Parts: sequence; C-alpha cells; structure tokens
Amino acid sequence: MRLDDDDLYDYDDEFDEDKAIEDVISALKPIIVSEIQAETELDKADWDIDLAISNLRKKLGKNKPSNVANPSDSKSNNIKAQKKLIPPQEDQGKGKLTPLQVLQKSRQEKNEKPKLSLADLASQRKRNIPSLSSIKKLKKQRTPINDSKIENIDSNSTINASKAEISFSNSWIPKISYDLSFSLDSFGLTLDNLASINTSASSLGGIISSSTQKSMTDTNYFEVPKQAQVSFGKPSPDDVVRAAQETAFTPNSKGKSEINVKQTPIIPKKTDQFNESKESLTVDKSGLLQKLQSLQIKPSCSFVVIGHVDAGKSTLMGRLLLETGSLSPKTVSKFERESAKAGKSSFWLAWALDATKEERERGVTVDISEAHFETDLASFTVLDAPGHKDYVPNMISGVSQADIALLVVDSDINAFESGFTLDGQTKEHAILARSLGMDHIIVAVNKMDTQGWNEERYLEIKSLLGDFLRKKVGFSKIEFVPTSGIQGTNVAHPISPDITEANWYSGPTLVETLENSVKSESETDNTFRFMVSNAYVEPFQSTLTVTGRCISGVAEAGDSVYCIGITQRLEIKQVANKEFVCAGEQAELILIVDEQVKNDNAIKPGSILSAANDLPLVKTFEAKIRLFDLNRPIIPGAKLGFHMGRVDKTVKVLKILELLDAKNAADSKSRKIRHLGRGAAARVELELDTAEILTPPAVCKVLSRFVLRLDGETIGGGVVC
Amino acid sequence: MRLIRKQLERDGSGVLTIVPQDNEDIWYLYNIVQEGDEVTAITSRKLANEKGAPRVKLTLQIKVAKIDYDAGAGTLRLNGRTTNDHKDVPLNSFHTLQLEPQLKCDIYKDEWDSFAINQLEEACDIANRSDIAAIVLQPGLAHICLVTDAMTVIRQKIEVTIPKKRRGDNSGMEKAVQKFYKQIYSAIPKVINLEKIKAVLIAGPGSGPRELFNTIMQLAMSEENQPVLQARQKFLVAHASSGHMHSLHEALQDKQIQESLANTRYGRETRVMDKFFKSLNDDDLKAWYGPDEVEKAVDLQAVETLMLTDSLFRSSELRERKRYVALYDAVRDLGKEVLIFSSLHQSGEQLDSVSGVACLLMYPLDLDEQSDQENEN
Repeated sequence: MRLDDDDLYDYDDEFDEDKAIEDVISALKPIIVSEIQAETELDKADWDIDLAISNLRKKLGKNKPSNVANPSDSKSNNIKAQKKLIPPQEDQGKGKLTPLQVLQKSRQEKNEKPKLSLADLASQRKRNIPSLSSIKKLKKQRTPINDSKIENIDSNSTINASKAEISFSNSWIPKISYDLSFSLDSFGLTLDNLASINTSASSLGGIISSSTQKSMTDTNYFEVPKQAQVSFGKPSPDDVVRAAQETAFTPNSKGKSEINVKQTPIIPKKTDQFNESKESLTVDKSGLLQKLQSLQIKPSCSFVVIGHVDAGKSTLMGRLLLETGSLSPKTVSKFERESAKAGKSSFWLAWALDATKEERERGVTVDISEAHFETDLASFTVLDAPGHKDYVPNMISGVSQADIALLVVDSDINAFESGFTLDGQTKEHAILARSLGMDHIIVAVNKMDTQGWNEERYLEIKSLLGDFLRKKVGFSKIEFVPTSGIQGTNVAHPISPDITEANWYSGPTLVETLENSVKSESETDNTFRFMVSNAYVEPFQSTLTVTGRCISGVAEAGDSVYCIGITQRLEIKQVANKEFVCAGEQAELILIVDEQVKNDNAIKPGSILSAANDLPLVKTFEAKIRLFDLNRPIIPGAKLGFHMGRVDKTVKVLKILELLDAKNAADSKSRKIRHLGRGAAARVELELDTAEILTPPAVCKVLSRFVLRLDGETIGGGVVC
Repeated sequence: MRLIRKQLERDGSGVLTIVPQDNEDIWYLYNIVQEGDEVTAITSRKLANEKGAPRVKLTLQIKVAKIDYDAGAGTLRLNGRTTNDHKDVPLNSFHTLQLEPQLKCDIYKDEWDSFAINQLEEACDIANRSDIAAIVLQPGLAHICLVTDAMTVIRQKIEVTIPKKRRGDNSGMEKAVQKFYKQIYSAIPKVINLEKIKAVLIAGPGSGPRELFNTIMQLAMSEENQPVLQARQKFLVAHASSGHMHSLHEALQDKQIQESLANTRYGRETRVMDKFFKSLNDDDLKAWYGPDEVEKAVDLQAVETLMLTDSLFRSSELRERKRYVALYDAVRDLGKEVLIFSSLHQSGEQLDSVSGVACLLMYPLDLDEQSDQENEN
C-alpha cells in the first residue's frame, strides 16, 4: 500500500470548481481594486513586513510546484484563479508580475486594510461566506466524521492562518482576519500549506517585539466574533464554529490552547519565538487556559541513556536521581544495604532503576526503566536503556520515546575500546539513535575517577568518538561531559576543588548540559497521538493505566481517544499528576475501558492512542532503507526483524525497487538489482507479518522511522515513503 | 519410506510400491506425486448414496487430478477419477485418496524422471535423519517447532502480552512471565513426541531460555511428569537474538546442535546457502539466481553447485518441470553438486522467493554482460 499525504487533504472531485472560482473572483475584485489604491501606503510599512513578505514568498515558492503537480484537484483551479486575477493588476501597469508575486502583493496589501470601514468588511464577509462554506461542505463529504468537528477543524485552521498573518500586521487592526482567511482559501492553499505559512508567520511574530505580542492576545480572537455579532445581529458562522469548538472533541483546538499554557512566560527560556507567536493563535478553552496559566509549568524533556553494557548507565542515572532529589536518601540507603547483602555493593545506585529480580541478580538492565526528576529550570524523564546486545529491541523502544540521547561511555582503557569496536553497543546504539531520527547527542565520559581524571584520556575519547559520531553517524549536535557516576562528580554539582586532578575541566555539569539542550518546539498543534509504552490492568476497576509518550497534540481528562482494534472511543479519565499532556511529554493516562477491552489486551505496549481515527494499518508498504555493515546481503524474500518503538515484528523484503546511492543509481538502471549489500540505500517493498500502524513522515515522524535487525545485529534503518 | 516394489520399464514408466513411515515421507510423496499419475491405495467409500450408509474399506486406483498437502496434519489428499474396475464402484467415478504414514500405496508414472527418483532415494535413506524440536522465545512470544530433515514446521505459536517493568511493584510482570512459561510447558507434550526426538533446543535472548528450562524442570518435578523428566538430557539451552522464527537458524549454529545436524540435509543446505550469501556479499560474480541466469551458466558448464527448491518440480506445467529436470540432469552429469532445497526450511523458503533456482560458479562470470552481448547479436 502506498501512502500519500495528498490523500489526507484532497477535496472531493465533484466540487463545482468553476462556480467556486467565480465566487472567489467576484468577491475578490473589489478588495483588490481598493487595495491597489491603497498601495502607495505600502512604502511606509516597516521592516517587519518586508521580512514577513520575503519569508512568505519563500514558503509559497516551495508550495507552488505541489499545486501544479496536481492538476486534477481543486488546488490547480486556484492557480487558475490566480491567473485570472492578473488583469486588474495589469490595468495598473503591473503586467510583469508573476501570479505568485500577485498573490504576495495582494496579501501584502491586505495588511493595509485599516483603510476600509467596518461596513465594507462586513459586506465583503457576506460575500465570502458562500465560498468558504462550500469548501467546508466538500470536506464533509470527504471525511466521515461528524459535522461539527469538521467545521471546527476547518475554520480553525483558516482562522489560525489569518491570525498568523495578523501577527505581524496586528498593530493596525485585527478585524481583517476574515478577508485574509478568505483570500488564503481562494488562493487555494491547502490546510497543509496554511500550516506552513502559519509557522513562518509565527516565527516572524516572534521577531516583532514582545510589546506587539501582548496587544495580539488582547485583541484577536474574542473581539472578532463579537464584532461579527454586532454587524450581523444573528448567529454568524463564527459563532457556530466557536460553539462547536467548545463542545466538540477536536485535537486542533486543543493544540492551540495548549500552546498558550506552555508558553507561560515564567521561564524565559521557554518563551521562544515559536511558542510566543502561537499565543496569538489561541482560539478557545479560555477558562482552562487561565487556570493553567497560573500554574508554573517547566519545559520538559526526555532523554534516553544509551551505551555499551557496563558503561555505568544505570549507576549514573541513579546518581542523577539522587542528587536532584527525586530519590530519597532513605530508599538509597536501603538499596545500599540490600545490594551489599547480595554481594553486589557497587550496584547500589543502579538498583534504583534496575527493579526486577532478574536485573538485580545479573547486574544487567533488561528493559527500559523510566524515572523523572526536576531541576530548577526543567523537568526531565530518564529512559534508562539496557546496554546488553540481547536487549537492543528494548533499547529501541526507549529511543522512540526520547528527545535526545545521552551516550555513556566507559573511559577505562579496554572498556571504551571494546564498546567502540564493530559489534560494541557504543557504536550500535549511536547508529540506532541516529536512524530513529535523533540529531542531538550528549556523551558522558564516565568512570573518569578510575582514570585519575586524566585530561589526555578524555580528549582522546572525545576526538575519537566525536569524529565517529559526526562524520560516520551524522549527528549534528554533539556535546561531551566528563563524569563519575559512582562518586557523583560533575553530575549535578560542579567538580569540587578538592579533586585537584580534575581542575582542567571548567565546563558545564551533566545536568547543566541537559538543561541547555531542552528543546522547546514540539508538535502541539497536531492531532493528539500517544504511544503506549506500558499498559497496566487495574484489577476490579473499569480503568486501564497506560504510560507512554505524547507524540503530538495535547489532551486532558475528559477527552476521548481511538485505539486500533477497539471500535468505541475511550475516555481519558485522568492524566496522572498533571492536568493535561502535550507533545513531547511522558505521561501516565488513566483510561475508562470496559471488560472486553481489558480482556482482549487490545491496548498494549506499542499501541497508539489517537484523537482521530485516521491511522492506517499497513501490511505491505514501500520504504527507503539504508543498510549498515552486514554479513549477509539482502535479497528479495529475506526476513528481517522490524523494530519501531515497542513494535517488534518480522518483515519480508518483497521487491527491491531502486537503488538510491548516487554512484549506484546509474548502474541500477542498466542492471537488474539482485541484492543489497553493505552500505546500500534503496527503495524497497516490504511486507510485515501482521499489519501495523505506519505513516509517512509527513503525517507522523515517530510512526515512519524503523530499524531492521538480523541475527541480533542492527543492519539498517528506514523511513516509510 | 519403505520401498517394496520397483518395476520400471525402459521408457521410464513404471510402478513403485511404497510405505511412507512418517510425516516427512508424506512430504516427499507430495514432491513425487504429480497430476496425471495413477495411485492405488486402500481407502474407504460410502457405496450407497443415502444418509447413514456405512463406509466400506476397499482398494481403488485413481488418476490424480488434484493434490492437497497439509503439513500440520501430515496428510496428502489426492483427488481424481477411478481407473480400475471394481464391483461396487463404477469406472471414472470421483474419489479422494488420503495418503498417511504406514499406508501402502502403488504409484504409476508415465515417466519417472531423475528428480522423482532422487526424492525417493532421499526419503528411503533414514540414516541421516535427525529430528530436533526447538523452542525459540522472547518475553511474550514463543514458537515451538520441529526441525526435521525435510521441513521446519511450527507446531505452536504462543503470544501473550507481558506488562513491562515498573518501578516499585513488578509482581504483575513476574506473574505474567511465569504464566507464559507454564503455557509453553503445557504445550510441549502436546506437540512434541519427546521419546522420538533427538534434542529439544531452547533458544532466546538473555536469560529467558535458561529460566524456561528451569521452570519446565520444576513443573515436571512437582507434577511427576515422567516423559519430561526422562528427556531431561535432551534439553539444550542456546542463544538466539529474538523469539521470532527468523532467529531459529542462529540457535541452530550452536555447536552441539551442529554436530548432530552436520550430515543432514538441513546442515548441507545451510552450509551452501551461507556460501552463496558470502559470495553475493563479496560481489565476486560467482553467485547467481534466476532461471535464465542459471540456465546460461549451465550452458557454459561453469556451475559448481546448483540449488533448486522442490516446489519447482511441483509445477503442474509439464514443460516447467522438464526444464528444471533438464538443469538437474545437466549439472549432475557434469559431476557437480546439485542440492534440492526443501521449501519448508528457512533457506529453501528464501530461495523460493528468488525464483527457486540459484547457482554458485566455479569462476567469476558476468552473466549480465553475456546476455547483453546476446541481445546485441
């Protein structure tokens, strides 16, 4: 099955396109004429607008080819519409403008809208509404979800786009948003494109001084509907929309509300451009927002701890938890006693994370353990991955839940080298993390105490590993920190001056490095999706507790979600310890389920909870894969281990479609491709043993990247296409 | 397989009387019997066309029109019209014969080709037979399978959800794991004949297989399960990277297992397949697959080892079958090695998916170039 993201947004073909275009054009004409008159005002616009326009132009320049490439759908009609718009411009002596420039111009001019009276605006709106709603109808036909929901999503995104526009023009007037949204629609920007413009515009919003920010939030979204009510004296479509937003279950609207929460300007770091400007997009849930705004929310970040077996991952994490105060000294002293009794006294810190009997007896982490700690600046989720070769599948599930990777290496002579050889897990884990989409890695050079804090050793490891990670694996951001987990040096507290050997190091501690790398952007404005890492059945209760990571969007208690394999929607009873969960966060959700769901084990590690029931179950799919070192070439029919998050399945290579390496591509045209060898990149057709949720990266990144393994070795990574 | 009578004519036609001994022989028969052959065996049939009429045992001969094989049950069902006169069954009436172990049958073929004879010989050679049961497992997933000379059969797949570990309370997980082991334990006697089997291989990542073995023995002890306790020596614990079937061959690399497998068909197949892949990986132009390429190589007498899967010979198209028999004969006549892979083994399955025919050459040869030249000519 081929997944095409265009499918998700295609309008119905039966749509009377010509009529819609006529509508659009007739509605647009007066605006354009009036705007052209106002054009002279343009020069007065300050640099913000210039910048905004150039950015928008870039965006649109990118979007345009995709419009042209789909002549059958309504997008192309909009291009026609653009062309038809040229004549009035030509009349004004601007015949040389390309349609794209015309679009830019007209948009730019709309920012000058304050010249128009309110009555004008209202009358224009009236004309606009039919075309807007006709498009909405089309979407309804297309998507079999309930009406109010669609209306909601729909208008939401258009309003968003318009708000984004305003975010750099709002010092004039926010009320023109309807015209803008209309014009955007008429120019045939799909929801997709809107979103991208949205982003570019919002980043601009951030550039504009924060004083404008405030005015934005004050004016935008409540005033507009009020004005509309006054001018129409009857319930306008906006009210319908607003009502729908308040009642209906929509991920989009929550996306907006959430952003508002996240950006609470308590922590300066968090209020970056991206989030700040999105504040202007806020549409609904104002009550919840106000409540949540009063809470102090720290930015959150989850990181996975990877590295060769016995590098000291669990111990270092135990130390981290202890020093950040998330482990009580009492518990720790208990571990200390117990581990001494078991004859494993050096493992006492690791026992904080290695909780099962097997792990403690063998002194080896088997499965991911999850822990949380907070610093003054941020809250963290630790995913302690097993280093042993046999448990790489578990490690993969940890990587899929994390934002950044913390690679722990043993600085000891031999130990570092053995982890760094061909089949050492230092290498394998780093490659895995990169193939699963991570680009930021922090390396903790651990057990420095055993090396007497030898600076040369540290630098040697740094250069060896740094080269490998940057050039071979392809990480873009790499940081090194020397630590000692067992002694707790340079973990949460800087190296004490007593340790004279370590005086050479004056950089940040491990915790500081982690704090500095907290990512602020997240996919909060997308559909709510949640990847389940664990599910626990509570006996004698109608609830199910799931832990996992929110991939995108936001959700709170009372929201309902879908899960593949369960026909009815499930309600979220509670988000444990929090009021809501948003993209990038680890959380524990308590779901209300019936007996059957519980007995069927329908929700299990690897399941995806989603606000929209739109995730495809895929069995046969196309993917781009890249192979690493392998002893056995891949020929069609080969069966490989397929890993994605908690998903652990067998995949069969059906066909090798084409080679993607530059040097082999030419070759492959003349030759039949018989096998894929070391380092090959290719587009292949794969078949899973049982269907699984997979999407192209455009829909959901986390659900598009996978890793291939064979005979206990990672042999390649891939992306669904 | 026991061969009782072999009566072949000059022209290659003739009758063989055989008694299949076990499920594996039925598999060989599946490869031997073709549409158009005449098969005689004891069967039962309802003579009167009315409800409740008794089924009568009788011997019938049919001309095979349809073949059905069930690996799990070990039966081969042949459907066709009767060709012998019987006082109760009119000529040309439809009947289905079911071939089972220990059921004598006569097979008449117009032409006994070299492949059929080869399969028969292999089936009759029981010296190298080695049946191994294998359990590959990872937490929550286990496959119990039987590895015999000609096939790898999954007898049971056990899949359960095991909660992941949780800080603090892990009783849920430990309980689920114990339950999972117990499920495997109770499945073993149902699907494996512990008396007949040479070894039971338990393989998986980490300490899982060792724990399973301990659990099995504990449970057997407490239940006084004599068959299991007596077979204690047959259990072997090995390493595999996962509980999926594709990890089975890792487990079979285990030294102890290798020794007992060395001379078996499975061992040979794996060895040659490894060589083939190595050659392919090195890109030394010695390994090729696909019927056209292999035919070309055979024409040039460059083949060192020819690999074919038995499924090729099951083709109902006579010309197809003849084509492969010709390849088989040509290479064997040159004194080179020919291996017939069982499509029920992992390696054969893989070979099947690349057209079922492959070869290793004595010297590097670019067959692509050869065909290009031919095209130009």
